[in-house]
Amino acid sequence: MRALCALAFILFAAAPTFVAAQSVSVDKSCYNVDSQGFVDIVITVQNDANPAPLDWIGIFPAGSSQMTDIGAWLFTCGDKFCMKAESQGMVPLKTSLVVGDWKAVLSRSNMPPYVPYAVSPTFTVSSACSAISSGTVTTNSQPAIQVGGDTFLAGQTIPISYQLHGSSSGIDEFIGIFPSSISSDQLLNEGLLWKLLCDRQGTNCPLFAISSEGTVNFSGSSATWHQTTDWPLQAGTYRAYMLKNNVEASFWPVIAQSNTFTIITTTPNINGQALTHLTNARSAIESLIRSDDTLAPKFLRMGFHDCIGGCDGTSP
Amino acid sequence: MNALSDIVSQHAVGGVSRADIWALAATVGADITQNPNSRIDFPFNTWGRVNCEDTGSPCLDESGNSVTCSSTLGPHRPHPGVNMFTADLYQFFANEFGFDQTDTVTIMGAHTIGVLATEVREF
Repeated sequence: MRALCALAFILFAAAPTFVAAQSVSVDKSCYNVDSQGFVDIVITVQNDANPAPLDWIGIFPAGSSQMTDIGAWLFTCGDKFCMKAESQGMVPLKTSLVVGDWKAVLSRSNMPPYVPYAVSPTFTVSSACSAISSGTVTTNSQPAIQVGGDTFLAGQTIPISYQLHGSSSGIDEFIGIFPSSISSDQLLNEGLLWKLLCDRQGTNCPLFAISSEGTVNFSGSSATWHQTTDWPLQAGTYRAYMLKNNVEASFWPVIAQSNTFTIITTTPNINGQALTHLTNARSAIESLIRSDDTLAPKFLRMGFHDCIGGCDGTSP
Repeated sequence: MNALSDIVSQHAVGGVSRADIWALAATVGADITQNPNSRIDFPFNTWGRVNCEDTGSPCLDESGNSVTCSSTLGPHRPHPGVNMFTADLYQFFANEFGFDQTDTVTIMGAHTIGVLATEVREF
């Protein structure tokens, strides 16, 4: 947590002299897809610090934390070929985008990993924009966190999903895990384990990596935890809090709290059981295929195509 | 999946997940359809794959709406976009699947009909 404090201090100290010279925004919060599947977006770019010919704007899924899944792109000068430095401008973009939430990102480098210089507010591509704005989007206006399970084996990854709303930017917020005996009206330190919203335990999140909702995974890999406790958590009942790092305090205001969850440590003979079940399942599948050999390619397709992104096994 | 429902109910226990059974079925399917004269083994040494409803991530339907996760509906995974460059593709498969360049070239080759033309795409 000392690293978080130091980061916040640096940001604070630098704020009076640093003026953000890059920004990117779009003209609407929701775009209707036209009959040909296109959307018309007008992107406003402010890029007057040191504009370069290869500065470009990419449209990425709103939840994306990596700049690899580009929905559309063009140079800041207005198309994919111009390559002229522009300090500011309004750039129309007609493109096909899948229905969903997107963001525009101003970027500089022409080889990955790309460096984001500015990120627009999230916008929606929809077949019915007006229905969305009067629908469910505004009902959940509070930041929230939720633990992805009731019970975990000690050492098992604990996924905690979060949603950010309103005044919570995500830059200062982190998630801490506390014994459930500690309640939110007590003064909270950083907890037994803590992690930033970008799923890092390091010194800071890049601005781009924080989306309005996501999942923070607490696991044993490459983690250094608060000095009083070590991974894995001991058996017991716990609760997670979303807390706001505050450079002027030694405790942290609570933004949201989760359901409680339990860590257990005893699973008698789990490996032996698993191996037995896998061996038996394997022979059962083999006899199933012998009774109907068209099942073999079906299973193959299920495992290697359909289950990528569609069903179980999509999580690492 | 329906064909496997009995096996799932009997063996997706004791540390073996339903997701493990899907993966095991795919492995057995690949094993059984091999050329018998040049067989290779398909060992299955990892288990505990997370079922969709236990990932803690939101699940989306094809319109991008949040829906209840189930055995056939998992968290959103982006596909590589059609506008990606070769370097983007390497990055995508490295991030999503831990593939190196050889792995990525292999899977792209196995899924390609025809040839890539540099003058058509901006490779």
